[in-house]
Amino acid sequence: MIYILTSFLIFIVTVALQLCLHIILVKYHYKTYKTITLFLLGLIVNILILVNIKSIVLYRTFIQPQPSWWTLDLFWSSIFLYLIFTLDYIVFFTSPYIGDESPSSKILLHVKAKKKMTYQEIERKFSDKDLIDKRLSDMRRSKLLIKSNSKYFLLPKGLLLMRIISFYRNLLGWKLLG
Amino acid sequence: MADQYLILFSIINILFFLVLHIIIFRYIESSQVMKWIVNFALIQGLIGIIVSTLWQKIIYQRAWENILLLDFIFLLIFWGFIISYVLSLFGITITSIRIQLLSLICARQQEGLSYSELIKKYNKRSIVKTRLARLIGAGEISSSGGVYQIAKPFSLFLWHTYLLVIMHKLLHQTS
Repeated sequence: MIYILTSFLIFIVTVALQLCLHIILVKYHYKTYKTITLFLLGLIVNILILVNIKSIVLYRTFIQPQPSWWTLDLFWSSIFLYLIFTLDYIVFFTSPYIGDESPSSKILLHVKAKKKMTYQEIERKFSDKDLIDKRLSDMRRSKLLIKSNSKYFLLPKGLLLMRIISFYRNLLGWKLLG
Repeated sequence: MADQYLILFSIINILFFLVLHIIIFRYIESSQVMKWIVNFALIQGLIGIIVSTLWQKIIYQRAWENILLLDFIFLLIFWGFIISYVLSLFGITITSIRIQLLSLICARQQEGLSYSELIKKYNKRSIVKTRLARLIGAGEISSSGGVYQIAKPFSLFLWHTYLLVIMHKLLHQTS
């Protein structure tokens, strides 16, 4: 258990540090995704601390041979858990970082606030400018697509992404999307 | 021994989930997707605990406190992976507006797609309709006489939404 708790604590500290660093950098008008690399540092610190814990536990095993649930050797599981939590956090962090508001979340929040809403009231909360135009501009900046002679075309990066996505969609056999 | 067992058991369950959901989800309505994936993850997690408990007791003859600890950590690993899978690959490929836009443009890659053609096929109306259908299918929202309301006071998706709002405010307050 001590291994798991240590990994979890290091993860929490790393999240706090990453958020603080991000906020400080944004105050100086420097917005970057690279603050995520702090989790790599967190992983190294995690491994070092767990190795030390393992040495202490091993030493104590000579005195008390039966490991308790507290000292059960879960070194690799703790590292694996840290990586899973990190992945969860990165996925969770990315959407607000990009600035995308999930339409489903927005619908849920509005309906919750107003208690009851008609379809027209819900639809009025959205605009093509926010939902479509902003995303098209973003994807042009990310070089996924290009606008030429008033028409949109995918660039190689966009085509590659679509090939991967299409493969996955075909696996699941889904048509209704978006 | 416990360490290797836990990792191996978690990986087997994750692989099992990945293979099984690809087979089963071909037969599920896309509006029911979110409800099914949550149920599927819960059921498989619980079955995993039962199998793991029996295996550890009968084969390894571990003490109960160790069994409970390993089962708990297995759930953290398994459900942790499911969360990242649903939010990233699954969510992005199935529900992402960007991916849908790319998909529409890709279908007309030879001649190109104008903005007006794109908006005719995919606009706020189609986006809102699809999402309402999905939210109703997931049991988050109910509809009666053309009026929509929250179906359940507590839901994981609602809490996830609140966390996103907090994160959004935190990340964009000073930009």
